[in-house]
Amino acid sequence: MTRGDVLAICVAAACVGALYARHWQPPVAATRFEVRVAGEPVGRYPLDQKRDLWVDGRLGRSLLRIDNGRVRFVASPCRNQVCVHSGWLSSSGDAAACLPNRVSVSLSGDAGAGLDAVSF
Amino acid sequence: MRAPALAVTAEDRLVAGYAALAIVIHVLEAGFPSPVPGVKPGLANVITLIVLLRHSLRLALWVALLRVVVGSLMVGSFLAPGFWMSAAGACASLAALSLCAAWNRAVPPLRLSALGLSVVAALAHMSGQFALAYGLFVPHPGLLRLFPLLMTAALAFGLVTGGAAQAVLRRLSPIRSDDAVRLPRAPRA
Repeated sequence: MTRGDVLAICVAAACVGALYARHWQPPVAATRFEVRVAGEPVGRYPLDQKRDLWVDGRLGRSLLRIDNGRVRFVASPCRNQVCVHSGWLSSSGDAAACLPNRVSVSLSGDAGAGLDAVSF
Repeated sequence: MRAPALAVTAEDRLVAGYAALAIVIHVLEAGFPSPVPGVKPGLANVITLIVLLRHSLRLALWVALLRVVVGSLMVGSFLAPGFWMSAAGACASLAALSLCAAWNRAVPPLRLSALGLSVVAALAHMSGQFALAYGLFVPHPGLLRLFPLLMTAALAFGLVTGGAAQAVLRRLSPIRSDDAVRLPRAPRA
C-alpha cells in the first residue's frame, strides 16, 4: 500500500461519511398525506387537524383517522388487517396500504423540499 | 485488395485474452444473488486494474468496455436497464481511472497502487450507476437515502477487489513479461 493509497482511501471514507451527513437525515415530520384508491389519487389532506375519513375502496370502506400530525388506518374490510397494524404514521415518506381494498396513504413533508417528479 | 485494418496484432490478442477472463468472472458473478440491485463485488474489475497497471490505460479501457458489452450479451441483459446501469458505472469508473493515471504521472510520490485505484474506481462506478438510476429510472427522493449505504458497500468492495488485484499482481512476474507489446510493432501484414 502506497502513501497515495492511504490518501485515496481516507478521502473516499471522508466522502462516504459526508454522504451520510447529507442524505441520512432524521425523519422529517409530514405535513400532509395523499390517499389513493387503485393507484388513482382521490384526495390530499393536511395532518394538522382531527378528523375521521371514510375512503371507498374495492371491497368496502376503510376508515382513516387523522390526529395530531399523524394518520392511521382504524378499520378496513380486509382479512389480514396489515394496514391497521401499520399503526400511526407521522414521517414524510411513510406509507401504509390496504392492498385487498386497494387503498393507500402516503405522507409527504413540506413542499419545496424537492421535486415532485422529473420527466424526460 | 486486402484490408490492413483487419490484421490482428499482438495487442489485440492480449486485449481479447484479458477480456475473456473478465467476461468469465462477470458471468460467474452474475450467478450469485445480490441483496440489493446494483451491489456486487465487481471482481471483474480486478482484470481491468491488472491491465491498467501492467499495460496501459488504453488497453484497460478496451478490456472493460468489451467486458460490459459481451458480458451483458452472455448474461442476457444487453440493452436492458441493468446493462445501462452497468455501462454508466463502467464509464464513470474508467473516467476516474483515467484521472488517476494522470495523477500518477503528475505526482509520482503519491502514486496510487491497485488498492487506491480500486477504491476510487468502485466509488466512481457506484456514483455513475446511481446517477443514471436516480436521474432516469427512479427519480424519487427516497432513493437518495440509499446512496450512502450503496457507497459504503462500494468502498468495502473496492478494498476487497483492490486487495485481490494486488495479490494477483504480486504473483505475476514483476517485470513486464509482455514487453513485446510495447516494442516496435511488427510490420502489419
